[in-house]
Amino acid sequence: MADAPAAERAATGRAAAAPSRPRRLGRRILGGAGRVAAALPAALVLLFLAAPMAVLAISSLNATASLAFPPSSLSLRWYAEVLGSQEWAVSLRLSGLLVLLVVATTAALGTLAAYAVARGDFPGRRAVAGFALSPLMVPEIIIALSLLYYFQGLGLVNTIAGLWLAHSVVALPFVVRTVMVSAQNLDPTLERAAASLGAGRLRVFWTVTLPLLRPGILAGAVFAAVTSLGEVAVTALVSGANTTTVPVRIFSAVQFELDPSVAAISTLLMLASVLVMVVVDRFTHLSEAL
Amino acid sequence: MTSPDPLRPAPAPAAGPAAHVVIEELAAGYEGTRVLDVPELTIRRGEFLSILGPSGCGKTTLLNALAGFVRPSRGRISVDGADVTDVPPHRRGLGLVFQNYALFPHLTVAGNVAYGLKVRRVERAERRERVAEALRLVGLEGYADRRPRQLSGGQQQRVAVARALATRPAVLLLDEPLSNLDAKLRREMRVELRELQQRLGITMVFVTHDQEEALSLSDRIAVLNGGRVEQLDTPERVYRAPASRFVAEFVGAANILDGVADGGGVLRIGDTVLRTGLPGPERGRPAVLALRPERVRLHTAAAEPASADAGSGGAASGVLGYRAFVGDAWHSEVHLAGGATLSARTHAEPPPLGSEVTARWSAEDVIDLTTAPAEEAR
Repeated sequence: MADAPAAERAATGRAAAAPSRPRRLGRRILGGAGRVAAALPAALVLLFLAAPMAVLAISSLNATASLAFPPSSLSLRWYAEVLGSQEWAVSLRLSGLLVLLVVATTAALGTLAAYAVARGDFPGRRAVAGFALSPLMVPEIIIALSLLYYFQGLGLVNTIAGLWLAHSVVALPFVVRTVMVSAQNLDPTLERAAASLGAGRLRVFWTVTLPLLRPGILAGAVFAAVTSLGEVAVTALVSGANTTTVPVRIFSAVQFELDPSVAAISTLLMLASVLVMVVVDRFTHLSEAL
Repeated sequence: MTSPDPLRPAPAPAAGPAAHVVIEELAAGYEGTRVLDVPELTIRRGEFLSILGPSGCGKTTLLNALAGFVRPSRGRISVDGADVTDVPPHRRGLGLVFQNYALFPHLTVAGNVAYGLKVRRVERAERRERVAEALRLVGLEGYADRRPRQLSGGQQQRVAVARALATRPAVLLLDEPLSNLDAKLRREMRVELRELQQRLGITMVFVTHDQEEALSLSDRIAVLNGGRVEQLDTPERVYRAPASRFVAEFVGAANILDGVADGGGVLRIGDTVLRTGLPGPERGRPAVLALRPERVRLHTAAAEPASADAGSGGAASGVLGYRAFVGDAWHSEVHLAGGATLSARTHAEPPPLGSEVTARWSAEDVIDLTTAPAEEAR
């Protein structure tokens, strides 16, 4: 900012002591316009990102069975329908159970793997890191197909255990990734300090390492939960009639009976996600760990 | 000080019951390069020992070997007569203070100080008492519930000391604990640390690259260079009677006069000829002498002292090429005829730049390093 008048003087070739009043005003208008010009793309991007979800939420309030947007009249009848339906209730319970299982499994495994890879000193460390992150690199439909063949032989198709394992495979890399970032930022002298105070390795890990990895673990857990809750490609192949998760049921509902009940259940899931994020962020600084 | 003469050599180390930490034949290195080679080092009970050296001299490796974080490739470390060479860090019972303090950010000040006590399963009531006592020791009674990041650097360092002392270790190891503090705070903490050590009678091993810190704090200093102990002695002796050219240059400033004796106490350094004040080695012999800048006096040709005085001691003539006021003294450089330069640190203001001056010094201030091991013989 301080250089602006100097640059101006150089440009006009005039040694003005101070900019005159109209020019100052003009600059202010230009500065304001510049700020708007900078903010506009950002606002457009935000709109682009948020608009589909807003459309969905508003559509779920449609009083008629049409998907037309904007709705002609509003009602909560689709929420009543979804919450009263036996099928949706089963799917919701299944998805909820899977989220809990998958988050617990991937948080435990992912934390240990990430810590070992980030801080350990053993041959093949990089290979292990690549391996743990590999589900991110492979197209999901290929993972789905491999799991289908694999589970077929093990008799895990159309079982909760199968879905638990399948979702864990897809969600694990997110936890590994976020915990690795936390582990790399962890000051090793803190663990040495704890050891010098008499703490054995397990105690150091439990009382110093784990609390300091918590932001990464929580971020990874949120990713894992969202992944499990929204997973369609893998689930569609390894699930069956008895094990239809919410997203798979939404997927098939959209194909056959396109009414706003899917919008209602999606809006409910979205609200649940937002609620979890807000609560977690209140207690930790989640956004810093992401 | 039991010894009236600070220049008297320190008593022989490993003197029986006074020995607290004993290092024997210790060697450590990474991937074949040896970074530490200490045949023998004894730390006495209740002693403040500084390990002084430039970065990369192996001092941190030595400290980590004592703490148990570096496994020596050879040798033995014993504390209180017990061999701890293969004992893991958490069983050694030594206190450790780190350069970056290493306070646990997820715990309060009290939680940090209590950590070692919890590990030792100290009862809650006693724990609280000992935490309060440790915080009182470092003057942070009112800060128990703060988080480390809410404290200043000096306060964090005090918490680190309190945390290390709360478990009442027999030996406290300090790894450059003052180097992240600003100059004023560093001087204050120096006094505090020394007072604390003397009050508690605890053995402290203090690693530093700051010679002033080592001189002002220590009972003894071990000067480390290239992984070897060049000298282990009292601060006075390390300063006044350095064992090697490296020690002379690293601890305090020194004019190193490295030349060939010309007979009759005359030294020839290249084209420069000066009178050393010592009877000197015989003609043709190489000689290395050190002279502290503060021992050099400057005289202008006009104010030349009486010839009786001029006859004794050493002298060299030249032109004043640099002078600067450094607060408690003047620093000047004399360009001697023939190319050599001599630094002087005087209380009196030196004559103006370009003046013809004679630098003089007393014979007893000349440190003869001729027989000392060369700095880099390796």
